Amino acid sequence: MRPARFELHRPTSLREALALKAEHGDAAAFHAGGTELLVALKARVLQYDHLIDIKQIPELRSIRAKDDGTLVIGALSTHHAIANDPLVRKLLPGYAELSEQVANIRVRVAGTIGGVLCFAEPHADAPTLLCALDARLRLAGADGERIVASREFHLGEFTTARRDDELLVSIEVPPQLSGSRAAYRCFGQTERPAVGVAAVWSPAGSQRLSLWAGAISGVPTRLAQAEAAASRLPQAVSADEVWQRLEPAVTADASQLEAHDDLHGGAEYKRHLVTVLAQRAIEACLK
Amino acid sequence: MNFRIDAQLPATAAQLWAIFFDVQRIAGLIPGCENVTEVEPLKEYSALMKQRIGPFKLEVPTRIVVESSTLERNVALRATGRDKFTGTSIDVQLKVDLDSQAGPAAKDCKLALDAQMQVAGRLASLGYPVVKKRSEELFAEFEKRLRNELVQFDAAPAPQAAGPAPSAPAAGRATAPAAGAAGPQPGVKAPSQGSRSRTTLLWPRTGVSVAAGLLVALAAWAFGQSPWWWLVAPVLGVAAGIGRENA
Repeated sequence: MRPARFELHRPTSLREALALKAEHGDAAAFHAGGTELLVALKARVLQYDHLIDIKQIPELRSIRAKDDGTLVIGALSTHHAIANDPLVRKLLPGYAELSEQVANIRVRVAGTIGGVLCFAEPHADAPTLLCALDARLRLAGADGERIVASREFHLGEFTTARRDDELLVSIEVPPQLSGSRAAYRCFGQTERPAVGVAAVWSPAGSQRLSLWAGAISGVPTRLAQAEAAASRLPQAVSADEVWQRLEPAVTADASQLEAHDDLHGGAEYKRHLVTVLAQRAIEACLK
Repeated sequence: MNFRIDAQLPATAAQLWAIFFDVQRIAGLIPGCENVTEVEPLKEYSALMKQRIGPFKLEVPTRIVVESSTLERNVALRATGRDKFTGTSIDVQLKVDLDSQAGPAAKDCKLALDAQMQVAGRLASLGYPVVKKRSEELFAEFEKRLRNELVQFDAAPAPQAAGPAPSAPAAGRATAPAAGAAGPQPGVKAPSQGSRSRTTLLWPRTGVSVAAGLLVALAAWAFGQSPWWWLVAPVLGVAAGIGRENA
C-alpha cells in the first residue's frame, strides 16, 4: 500500500526543523530513518500532510566523547554506525554488540537510535540497555534544550516524555566506572525481541548491578530486587556464585512484571525468559 | 475485552435510570466521546469517538442504538463504528442492570454494568496488549466519571417528582462505594425516599379513551339503551387515561 500524499521538507539546521514543526503543528512529523514511520504511513495507520526530513542536519549525526568521558551519540546515528564506531566499541562494547544485532541489515543501516527511542515501540532493544546505562536524552524545542533521563523518557507504549514539538538531539551515556561491563541479551521469534534484558556490572561501584528488562512490558522495567541482592554480595564472590545468589531475586522480579499473552509468547513464558536472559547477560558481564 | 462495574448505591432505581437512559449524559462520561446527537428519540444516537495512542489517532463516527430497555430495570446499548482512514472498527455492547433492594432503614439499588468491547482493523495490529491497556484506561476513566456522577445521591437531597437530581456532584462528599462493594460504605447516608413516578392523565391515551367512551354512549343511545351510558362511558374513558409518569 502507498502512503497518503504528503509534502516533504528537508531542513538543514535544527532551528529550521523546529520552525517547520511549529508552523505545521499536528499535521507534520519528523522523519529520520523511516524504518518505523514509513511502515506506519504505508500501512495507513498514520497520516501526515508534512514530513520534516531531518537527515540533512549534521549536528544530529556525530558520535563523540566529552572531556568528562560522557559518550554523546547523535540522534541520527544509525544502528550500523553505532555498531562500527570506534569510540562506542571502546567505551561501550556491550552497546556496540547490541547494535550489531538489531533486526536485520536493512534496518540497521537505515534505522536511527533517535527514531527507536521516539517511536517508543515496546519491542525494541536499545532503550533497555540505555536505561541500564542511565543515559540521558537531550531534547530541543522552541523554548530551548532540556535533558530527560532515559529511565523517565518512556511513559508507555508509543508514548514518551518528548513533547510533539521537540526533537531528540542526542543520547548522552555517562562515563562508566572502571572495570564495569554492560551486556544485553534478547530472544524473539521475529526480528523484534519478545524479551530483552540488559545488565551493567560494576565491581567497584556502590551499585554493583543495574538490571533492566525490556519488551515484555510497555516500558523498560528495573529489576530492583536483583539489584538490591547484588549490592549485598560480598566483594570476593566468584563469578559462578553470583548467579546462584541472584537467581531467587531475579525470579521474584520477573514474576511481578506486567506481561500479556500475545504473538511474542505467553505471559508466563516471557517472565521465564527474563530469568534466563538475565543469567546470560550477567554472566556475559562477568566473563 | 470485558469490563464490569458492580456497586451498591444509595439511590433509587428511578434516580439511576435517569442517568443510564439518558444516552447523551452517559456518552458524555466516556473519554473522547464527542458530538453526541439524537437521531431517533430514545432509540438511536450518533457520536464521534476520538482516541489516541502515542502518534496513532482514531476518529470513529459511532452509531449508538438502544437495543432493549425495561423501565427502571435494565437497558442495553450497542455502539458501533469504523475509522475511515485506518479501517479500524469498534463494537461496544453495554448492559446496565438495576436491582432495587429495600433494606431495614434505607433503600439501595444494586448496579451491575457489563461492557464488551471489540476492536478490529489495522490499528488493532499494534497488538492486543496495547489496545487492551488503552481500553482499560478508558474504562477506568469512565468508571471514575460515573462514580462522580453518582456521588450526588449521597450528598444531594432526594430529587422531587419533577425530574432527576442535579448532575453536579457536591464538593467533598465523594463517597460512592468501590467496585464490587457488597453493601453501603461507611459515610453513606440513608438514601432518599422520593417518589419514583406520579399518577397523571396520559396523552393521547386520555383523549382516545374519552372519544371511545363517547362513541359507546352514542351507539347506546342510537340503539335505545339506557341514557346512563352518557355518564358512565366518558368517565370510564377518563379512568382508562390515568397512568404513571416517571418522576
